[in-house]
Amino acid sequence: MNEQLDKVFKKQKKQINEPEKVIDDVVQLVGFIIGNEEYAIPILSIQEIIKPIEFTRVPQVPDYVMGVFNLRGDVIPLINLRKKFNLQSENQTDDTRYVVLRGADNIAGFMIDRLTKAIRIKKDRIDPPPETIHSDSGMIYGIGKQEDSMITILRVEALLKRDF
Amino acid sequence: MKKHTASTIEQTIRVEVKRLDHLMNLIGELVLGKNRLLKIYDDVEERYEGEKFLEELNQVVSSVALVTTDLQIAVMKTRMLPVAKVFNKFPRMVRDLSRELKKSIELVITGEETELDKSIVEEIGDPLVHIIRNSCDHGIEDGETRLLKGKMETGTIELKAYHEGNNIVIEIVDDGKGLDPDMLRNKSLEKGIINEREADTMSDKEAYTLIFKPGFSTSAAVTSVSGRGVGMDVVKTNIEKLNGIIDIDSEIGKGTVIKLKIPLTLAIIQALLVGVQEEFYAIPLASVLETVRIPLDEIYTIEGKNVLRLRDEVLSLVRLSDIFSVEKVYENNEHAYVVVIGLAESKLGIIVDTLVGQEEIVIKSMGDYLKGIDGIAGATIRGDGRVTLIVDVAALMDLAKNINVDIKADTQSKVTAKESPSDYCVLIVDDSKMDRNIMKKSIKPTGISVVEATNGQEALSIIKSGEYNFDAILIDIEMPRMDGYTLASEIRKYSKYKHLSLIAVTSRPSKSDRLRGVESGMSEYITKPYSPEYLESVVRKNIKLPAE
Repeated sequence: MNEQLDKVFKKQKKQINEPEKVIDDVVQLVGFIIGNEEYAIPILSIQEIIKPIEFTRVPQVPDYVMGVFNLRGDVIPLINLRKKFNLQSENQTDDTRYVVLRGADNIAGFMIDRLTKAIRIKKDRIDPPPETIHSDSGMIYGIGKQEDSMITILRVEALLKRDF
Repeated sequence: MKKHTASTIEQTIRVEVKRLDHLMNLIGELVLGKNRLLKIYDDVEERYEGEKFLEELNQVVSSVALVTTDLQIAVMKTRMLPVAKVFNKFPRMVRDLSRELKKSIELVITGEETELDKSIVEEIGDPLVHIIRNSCDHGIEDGETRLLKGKMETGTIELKAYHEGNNIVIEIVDDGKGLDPDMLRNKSLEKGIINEREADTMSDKEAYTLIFKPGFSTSAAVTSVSGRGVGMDVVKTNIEKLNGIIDIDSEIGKGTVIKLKIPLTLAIIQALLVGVQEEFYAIPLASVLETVRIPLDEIYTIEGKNVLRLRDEVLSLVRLSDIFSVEKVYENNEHAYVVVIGLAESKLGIIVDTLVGQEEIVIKSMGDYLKGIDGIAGATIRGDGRVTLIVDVAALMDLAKNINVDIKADTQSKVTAKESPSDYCVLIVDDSKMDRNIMKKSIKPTGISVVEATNGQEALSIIKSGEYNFDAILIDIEMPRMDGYTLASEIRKYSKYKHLSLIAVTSRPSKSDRLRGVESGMSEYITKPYSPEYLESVVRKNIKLPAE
């Protein structure tokens, strides 16, 4: 009896320590374009994606913080990723979207040029960022390799971290 | 009888503060909704004047507004605590102090049943302790001195609380020796808090406020009670944090009155909405002392700082657009609106372009990402759904010190002269290509540049993009997606287009159509068919094109 019980406990313990590894192998990402490059963000950090709406400028902040907007009663900061990545800023087009990301205790909208698609990628297909771009304040989580292209996966916590 | 007492005991329940906070947030949403509803009602009323359903709508809207306001007050009340909670510890403190200082002091408390928000009750405790300690130590003289001066041997400190509008006022009155403005000036000079010129120009009232400067202490000897130079500046910061105002009055030999004016609640406040170029800001009404409209030539410049003589006071002036580096899109006229803000004891005049009005606003945080930006206390959502930032009055006063702009010189700036007719630009909005061509042909002799749009929405995005600087816009009324009336009223929403010529070109000749055109902001109304010469002359007139 005791042995049997031990077996059950062991099995339960195993389940706690190694929760379903199979699903964890694949990461789901949302891809989008900024400038000429494709980036991606884990789908679970995205609260929603909305079409551009009116925003209010906030003074005394770096230029990549465009302002704040009203998302159903919440005031949310809007960040221009083009400017954040030191790219030439361009006018909004019909494809422009705000990606609203939610972190542990922060939320912000990010303006991107255009969405591409949802991507499923295996974890072992993601490489750490090359040493040469390590200085980018840890904004890059890794490089995802696909059959025909590479995709830069952004670190959500770094995007949502205030750096001014 | 016994049953009765049992039921009275159950008249109260304990509720977690978090739940009340949540309730307050929801009420905030409701207030925003109400503001929005009122705004929509105003728009509807304008458009459908005299229609029957308006009355019914009016009834519904006003009853919703009324109930919302009542609900807000009711919920606010659940968070209210009597100030007695803080006041109660003072009799003992004064008793202890009077024994320690060997003075006979009596504390008289009135209005302890006055209620205010829980969070504020918690915050005002410390400042009051400091003020009362100071009154005991520095204010009230010892028994002998008092008798010599012909006063009662026992000194009195009065602690009063009462409501005044949306504020609560707490008064600390002592009948001690009062503040000596000259002594305060000398002492501050000695300590290097002010320079000699400041000391000379300072009014008595300003001199009293010196006690709030960090590092200041009037007491000759350092006692265990006070005189160590910390304290009163902490009072100031704490009261400012609550958006409160401190007022001091004193008379030598008679005593000192310190008045703290604090808003009842922190979550929903009354604010003055002001416009600066295309942006709007909300200034907490508790800090607004008055608003005045002045001609620009009443502004004087002293050492690069702009000042205004307002009655018998000299007021420093600063433009809100300079503090927040607002993009300049249109020229100011020769008058300016000045919002005089006062916080604790300092005053500042803020120049804005327009006064929008007073509104009840719900303070929303901008999240961790934008927390603690200089000069911004938070944000609110207005009736039209847009976000408006709330000005942090205390920070604004600090920011204003670093701004040196000669307002007068700045306004006498140049207007880019237009030389040839092609420097002028006209936008033609019409869904029919033929009509657009006719208009283009009519204007062609003038040599003005022309941009075309096929409907209201397209026109609006062209205008918004800022690519062109239009001198006039010709608008057809009947168009798909967005009609001419809507377009005109949308354009008029931008302050920089307040004076832009909008010319309606339409085949609707009726009087009511014309009226609607005027209402939506059209400056001219041309009915089709028209002769090319007529259109040309109207355009010429509207853009003030010099005759050839």
